[in-house]
Amino acid sequence: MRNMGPVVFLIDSSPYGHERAFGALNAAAVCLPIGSAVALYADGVYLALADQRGYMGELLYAYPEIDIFAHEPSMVERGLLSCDLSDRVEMLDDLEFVERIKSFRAMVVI
Amino acid sequence: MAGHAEVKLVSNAMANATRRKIMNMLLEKGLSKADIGRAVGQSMLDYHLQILQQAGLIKIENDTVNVTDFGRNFMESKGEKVERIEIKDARPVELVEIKQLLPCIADTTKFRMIARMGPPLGGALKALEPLFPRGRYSERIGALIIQKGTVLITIYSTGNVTMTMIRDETHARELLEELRRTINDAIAKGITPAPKERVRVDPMEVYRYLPGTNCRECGEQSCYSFAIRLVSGEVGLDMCRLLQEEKYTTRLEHLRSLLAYL
Repeated sequence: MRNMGPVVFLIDSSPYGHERAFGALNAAAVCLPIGSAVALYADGVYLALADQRGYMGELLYAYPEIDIFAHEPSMVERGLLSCDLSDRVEMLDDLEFVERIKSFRAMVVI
Repeated sequence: MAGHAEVKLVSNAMANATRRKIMNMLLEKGLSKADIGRAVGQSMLDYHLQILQQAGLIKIENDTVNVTDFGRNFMESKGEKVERIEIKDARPVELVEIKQLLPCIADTTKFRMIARMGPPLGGALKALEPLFPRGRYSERIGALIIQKGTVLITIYSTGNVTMTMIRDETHARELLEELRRTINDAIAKGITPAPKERVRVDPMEVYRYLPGTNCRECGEQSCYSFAIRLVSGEVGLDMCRLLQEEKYTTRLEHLRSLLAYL
């Protein structure tokens, strides 16, 4: 991991039904020594809902050092602003989301 | 009476700092979009106004934005209350459950623990910050982060608690009990403690975790002078090339705990 900087993992598909979100959260945990974050976009924002099932929910809370932020307009499109949301997820508007992504040295889309 | 979805919509709409600023401005008087844009920035203005409108907090007529009666009531009751909530408004907490123990990545002899304390402390969490000399309330994530030795404790307003670098479940329970007692003592006294002078991170403490080779690759004369500049925020951990090596992973995690949260 030498010479690497903070990395953000983008989740842009539904967290259930395949293992992309699960993989991204685990990868972010492994990358903690260099700094890591998880960005939720498009269908990935479903991970921002409160009370995620099983191990996925535990992963969200087990690593408080991993910033998890969501694209709020994606949430609005999906009607999620009327739902219980996880307190682990920070909601950002379009510009804030892009700026936050740009602050990382690398973005990984799983 | 508003349903759960409407309540959530309002609370999520008000979770954004820009939208809270807009609402506070509009409490004084109705404003044009241009006026609001000058105060909070034009970018994303329409988006934020749309969210507030959907939540029923504002109305827009002829380019003038006003708070609705509902919005005014919300701001004058819950909205302001959230801002000035004090410890006396909180109820004593109890440990509800310890959910999970996961091994730490950098040090597999230590664990990460997830617990829950109830009832949730909500907005009172911020008022608890002065109780912990090495505690910091993060507005960004809405959580109180406490450092106790090498252990990092994060308490969320919903009652979720995460702890890192824990020896075993007994250690976790001891720390949680101490946390519970400190919080409940403050609630019993009913007085919001005055902000304490923050305990500075000691450069010597930081130095202990640096490689200590005085290689000067970071541009400093010694690891200690690098530690001083780290504590003052003038340089980042990435400036130390040796720390990025695998054998220093555990030290790097300690340093991140020391510096990133305080």
